[in-house]
Amino acid sequence: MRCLSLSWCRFRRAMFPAVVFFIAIATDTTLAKDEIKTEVADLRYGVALYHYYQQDYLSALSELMVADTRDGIQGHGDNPELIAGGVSLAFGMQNHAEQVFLSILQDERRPQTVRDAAWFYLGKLHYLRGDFSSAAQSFARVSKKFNPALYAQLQSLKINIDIHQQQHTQYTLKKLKRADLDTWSPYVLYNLGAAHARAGDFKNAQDYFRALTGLDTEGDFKSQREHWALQDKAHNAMGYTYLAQKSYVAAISEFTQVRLSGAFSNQALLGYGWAAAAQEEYTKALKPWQLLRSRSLIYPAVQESLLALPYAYEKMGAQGEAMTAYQQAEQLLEGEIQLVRDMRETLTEDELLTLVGSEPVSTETLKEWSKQSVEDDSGTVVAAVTDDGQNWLKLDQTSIIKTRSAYLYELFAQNEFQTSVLELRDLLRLQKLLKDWEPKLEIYRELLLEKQASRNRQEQQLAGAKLADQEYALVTQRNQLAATINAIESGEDYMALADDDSRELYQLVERSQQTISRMKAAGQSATDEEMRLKMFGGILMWRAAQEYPGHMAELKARQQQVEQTLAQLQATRERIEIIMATSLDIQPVLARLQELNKENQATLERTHELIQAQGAVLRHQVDKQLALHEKRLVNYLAQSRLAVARLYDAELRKKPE
Amino acid sequence: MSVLLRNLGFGLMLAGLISSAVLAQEEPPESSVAPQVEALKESVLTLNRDLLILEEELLYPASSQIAVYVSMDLGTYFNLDAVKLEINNKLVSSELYSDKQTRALFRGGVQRLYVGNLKAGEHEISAFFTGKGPHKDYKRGAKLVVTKDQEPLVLELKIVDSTAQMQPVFEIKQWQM
Repeated sequence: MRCLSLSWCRFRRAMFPAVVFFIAIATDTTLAKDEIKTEVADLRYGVALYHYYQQDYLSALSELMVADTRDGIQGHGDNPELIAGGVSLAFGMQNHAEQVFLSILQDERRPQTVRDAAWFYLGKLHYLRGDFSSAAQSFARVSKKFNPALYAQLQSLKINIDIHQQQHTQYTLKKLKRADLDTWSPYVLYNLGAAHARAGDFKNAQDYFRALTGLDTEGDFKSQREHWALQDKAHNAMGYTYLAQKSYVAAISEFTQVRLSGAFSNQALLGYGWAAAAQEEYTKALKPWQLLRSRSLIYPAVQESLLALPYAYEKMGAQGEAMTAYQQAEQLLEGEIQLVRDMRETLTEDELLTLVGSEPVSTETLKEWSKQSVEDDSGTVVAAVTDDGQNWLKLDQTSIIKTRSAYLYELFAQNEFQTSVLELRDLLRLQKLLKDWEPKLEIYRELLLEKQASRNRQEQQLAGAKLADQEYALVTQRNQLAATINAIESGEDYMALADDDSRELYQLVERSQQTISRMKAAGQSATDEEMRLKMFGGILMWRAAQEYPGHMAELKARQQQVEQTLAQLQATRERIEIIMATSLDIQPVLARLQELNKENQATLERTHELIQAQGAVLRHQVDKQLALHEKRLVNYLAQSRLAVARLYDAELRKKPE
Repeated sequence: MSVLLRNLGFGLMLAGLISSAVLAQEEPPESSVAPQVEALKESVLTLNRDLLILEEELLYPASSQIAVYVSMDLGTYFNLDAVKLEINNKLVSSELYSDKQTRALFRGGVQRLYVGNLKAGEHEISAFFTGKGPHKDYKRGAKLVVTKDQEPLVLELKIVDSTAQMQPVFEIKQWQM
């Protein structure tokens, strides 16, 4: 509900879609509202949007920051800056967002559409900080050509500033440009009515409230529900202003128009009763009050009906019923006070941290819960942290809270509380992110150390000249083999490749031939021996010639193997040289990693401290709220007891001495 | 007592109704640790950025990096359920989409589906899309043969509406980096 509970935090989560929508329109005015052009010029821009649309602000900002550190996002003009400002705001980084918008505005060359957007969001920032004068100045800088989709919101914010500065009387219902306010019109009407009511000008207040209740409800179911709730609230406000003016009939007429199933029906029933009682129509007053008493005691109007009912009985002269009703009230209030005390005990800091840190529920689930609550009016809507940025505490897991969570609704709607919850949630997410890095950094460190060790081994290998020695030996071997093969082939030396036995025999033949030559020189005849020797030599040579191709092939295969081994060795050496020359410089990276790891640890510690501090803030707020409820209940209890004592006293006085 | 109670009741109820109207918007939040929280967020974001850059340098050096993205333009003819990505007939990534994810894609977001390493040379990239169209279910594939060199390989799996055919078209686009 924009008027009832548009608060800092919801704005924080809700405003950025408007930024994106604005960008979509500003960059391509030819597109229809529902047809968003999705093609991107830079994929990283699209990735940032993808994360943002899923409310993952941390990843969206990280994507933009990584892109910015490199070459920046290309092809999207000023949009990445606006997006960065918007996401920062959504992530609760107001100062950062302000810097971004200011930096955009310092550049006079920026297009008017971008400047308008920056002035508008800067104005909203000032507005939400309560700096209305600066907000008004920023809004005044927005040009008349401002995006129509946001113009109505701008107008409504300007009126709110005037209300805050007590200048609401400048507006009149007739002169109010309701067409310019579009869907914001009901909220502006209510705010102006409330401003007049606060100033005691009930007549004007009623005029604004009446204008609001006369509006047709349009839009989707959600908008209609908001609208109905706002109209109920306006009827109630009108009823109570009539009560203050002692116009009881008019008051009753307004109270009867409040929906009985709505959130404001309790106040209407109570007011109806008071208006009837003021006319001394106590029987008429009893009906709404009796209905109220049947409802849950968690609502202040129901609590008040505990005393209002016996008050009516007393006025009707039914002292006995009055006494019984006061005593029942006493009993009920005592039980309720105990429940509130139990809640205060239960909602410790740790419990709240667990609740806020629990998995968010889906928007659909929350809708279901809300629907059920409206249907059965049980008041058991569980407050939850939803995944679309709605910020409610998830309390359904604590049974005592489940039935009494309405005590905290008022608190849930407060900016301060919502900010605390969101900040705590953000802190828990930061903690998770930092914790997720811890094991990864350890693995990366080990990876780098392993690389370092591997490099050291390679360096040692090279330093020990093992590779070079091996290579030299292989080159020598290869050269020798080549020379041998060459010599054998050129001389057709078949015997060189013959087996050892054949070679020995052939040497024996050669030595015998020398002996025969010497015998012939000495005149001795050795013809037979010479012929037999020649035949042996021929056989041996023939056999060697037969085996020569096979042996030569073996020799060449060996030569090839040596060549291959040599090539592998040379490749290894070259690869090592390349690694040494071109691979990641490990030491500086390792140092960088260790530095970042240290920073991660320190940031994690700081996050833990802030989580504790924020948990204490939240606990204080919850307890303060519950203490207020307890105080009110105790007050009603005291009044009940006094009334019982008074009735006893009156009864005693009636008896004769 | 009765007058007091009645007046108290009127006053409280009326005050409650008229004070919450604008005050809810106007009260700036007060949290004693808020400035520290914002400072911490800045620090964590900067640290996270540095860590992400370092991680990419370590795990996916440019010379071997391949990154695959998914986008929809406009996606009115196709409601995406799942995507499977294969490189050289080997499944490297798959995703089942939630409503939230498909809404983010429909609104212009781009998903980084896969980042990995690839050797230089020729590779076959295949993507399989499953989902529902206005009239029927779809199970379609797209294929692209790419050559990896020393530059990072960036691919976009695109689901594009073909207004002429009134049906979705699936394609793989290679970005020149």
